[in-house]
Amino acid sequence: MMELQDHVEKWNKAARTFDWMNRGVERRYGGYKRTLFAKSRGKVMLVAAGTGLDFPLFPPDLDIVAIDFSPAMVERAKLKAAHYHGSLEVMEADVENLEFPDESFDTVATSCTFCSVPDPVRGLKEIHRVLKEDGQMLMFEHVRPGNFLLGAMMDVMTPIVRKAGPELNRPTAANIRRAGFRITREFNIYLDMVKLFEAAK
Amino acid sequence: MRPDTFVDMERGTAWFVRGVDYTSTLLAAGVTAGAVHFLIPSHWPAWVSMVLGMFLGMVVLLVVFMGFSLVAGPFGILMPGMTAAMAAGMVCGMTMTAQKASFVEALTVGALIGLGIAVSFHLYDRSLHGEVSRNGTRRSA
Repeated sequence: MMELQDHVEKWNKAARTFDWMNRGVERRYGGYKRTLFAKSRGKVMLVAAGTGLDFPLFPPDLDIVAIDFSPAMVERAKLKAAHYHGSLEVMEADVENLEFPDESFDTVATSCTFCSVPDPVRGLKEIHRVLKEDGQMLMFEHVRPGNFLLGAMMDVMTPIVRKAGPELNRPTAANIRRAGFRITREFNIYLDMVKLFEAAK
Repeated sequence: MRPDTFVDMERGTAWFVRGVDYTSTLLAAGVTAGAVHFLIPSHWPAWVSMVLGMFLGMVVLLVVFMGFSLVAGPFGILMPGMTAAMAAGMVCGMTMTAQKASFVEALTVGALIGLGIAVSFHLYDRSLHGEVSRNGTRRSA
């Protein structure tokens, strides 16, 4: 079992090549994410912002707090935040232990986040706590496919991939519900593996 | 555009990534078949050749994946590529080596396996793509 510090170190190392490695993801899925994040309103928290690749996908003039638990990611994200037309604060924080008061945000956005959070249900419960009663959660995530064979392939790959990257077999829809959210919309982008979720309290 | 409508990729991007998906799957299967032809002796037991063929498929996939996922994202490469490379390694290892098939024959079988799997994944993806209804089934694209 990896400790939190091991996870932080892993993503610190990944920060060096993160933009380069994710060019394909942005090319392929950027349009979907832009459409999803266009729904952001009020005070927004972007969880696991990474190096800030998603900042240009948000509409201008929002009040955004972007968090990540990797100092190396935060350092790089701060450089990109300067180009956002609106308020965008980047800070080091762990989604499993947020220091924000209850009901602080109108929108929480995630982008390939809950494949990496060590305890996803705990992280989602923290989001549930800091989200306002009428708030919304917007998620772009990859999850374990429902197909038996493809799911088994992801189960086999996960122990190898997790050493340097994310988990490939997370049951994110179930985790969202377990944390107390109601899924209001689910959209399959690639197979039933890359998805958009919209959820409410 | 309605604000609650998720848009597909622009046509040019969609063609590009679909082309990358097909090319990478064909390459993974074709190169695996070629590697099996050159590296696995014909007198080895079929089951050993089959397992080694699948292993070779994984090695080939790793190289193909590293290259192509950078330009079109990982998942469209990984899933069909892994299936195609393992299938090509298994089929070519089990049957082609024992029959002393030529390199061109091995490559053709590998490429056909790759094409079949790329098309299958494409169709499967289109059948799942879109809104998911509350009971987990696809509602509309």
